[in-house]
Amino acid sequence: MTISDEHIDSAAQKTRGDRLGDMMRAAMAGDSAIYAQALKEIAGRARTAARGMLSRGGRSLEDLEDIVQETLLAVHLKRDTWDQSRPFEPWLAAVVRYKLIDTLRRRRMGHVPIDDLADVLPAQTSAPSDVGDVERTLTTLDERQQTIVRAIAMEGRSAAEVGRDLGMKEGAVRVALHRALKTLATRFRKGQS
Amino acid sequence: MRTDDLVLLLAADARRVTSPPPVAALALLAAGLAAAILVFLIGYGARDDMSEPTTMVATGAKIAFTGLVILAGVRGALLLMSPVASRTTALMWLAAPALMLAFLVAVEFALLGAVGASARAIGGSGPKCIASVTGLSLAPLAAFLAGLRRGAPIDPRLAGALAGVAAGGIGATLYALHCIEDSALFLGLWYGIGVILVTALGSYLGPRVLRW
Repeated sequence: MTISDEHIDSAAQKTRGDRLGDMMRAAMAGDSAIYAQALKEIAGRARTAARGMLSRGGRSLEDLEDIVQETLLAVHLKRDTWDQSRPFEPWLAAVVRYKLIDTLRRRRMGHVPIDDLADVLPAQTSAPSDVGDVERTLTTLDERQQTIVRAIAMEGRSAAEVGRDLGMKEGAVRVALHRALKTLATRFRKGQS
Repeated sequence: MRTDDLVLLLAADARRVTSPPPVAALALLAAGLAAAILVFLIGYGARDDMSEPTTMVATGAKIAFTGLVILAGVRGALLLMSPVASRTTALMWLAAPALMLAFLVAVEFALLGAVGASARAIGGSGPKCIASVTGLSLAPLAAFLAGLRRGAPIDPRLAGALAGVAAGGIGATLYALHCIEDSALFLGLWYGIGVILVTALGSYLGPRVLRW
């Protein structure tokens, strides 16, 4: 999967237009390198939005990365509800907003004790931890799915390589990965009430 | 897992060719419809005098209303699969069956007058009508809701309610082939209650099954 020059060009021309949308169109046509780029940018937007909402609500930023990761999963799993003939930004804004409200509602767990606040304050000078809930939820997947997820995410290997190691076809690895992502999103939603 | 790792993971899942969400939802709805038709054929069947011309006209009129109920519900629920859909647009379609019902009632008053209207409205099989419309719509409701899970509605309650309208419309359409009550007033009252009950069930289930 190579980065398509065509998409980069059209993205550069439309910096103020639907640049992210062009990246997503390329991504949905199967360009995973551009997709990774787009997801990073989306993560940044979600982080900004979530940080704003958390601090306006006077809440600690400790859940920030969980919310970002949950939003990314939602964007990924629901991206085909975006009509590609329309601009991407309004769709993204709606998804981010829905996920923020949804996760905050679920995480509303009474007040935060002062002791906890003291722990959080020094951490804010550095970047907040970006180890999210996905890690905790990972352990609930079956062994094969865990192996696949860890190999791709943490070791940066491709589906084809992972398949060779596990004696699976590449397509089977992809299917297993997709199922694992759906399971993660569901567990995420149900795990924190 | 760091967010960058998650990005890698999601990017590895970039290439997936699946049917568009509304198509997937319609496919499941069709399966639910097939199940309802089966229940109808086994448990009900078309009324005996179906071949009479007057019966055909009366049944056609009933189905003109219930068919529009299905269309409005399906159209609205499919629209709401997108998080940027407008709720107003999704609801607008409900005007079509409402207008059709008003038209049918007007025709009935023109033909039969106001005398005996309340007797026609109450009819003789109201409770059976409610139970049948509701019962026949359960399989389509379950199937359609399952299909709508592919969507990303920002108002799962409304999406569920519209799925209920669609399923209720299916139940009403099937039962209209069996039921011998031909008054538009009966249609609006008892079929209406049946569809509203299924709609309420859909709006109860929506937030439970359509959240994402």
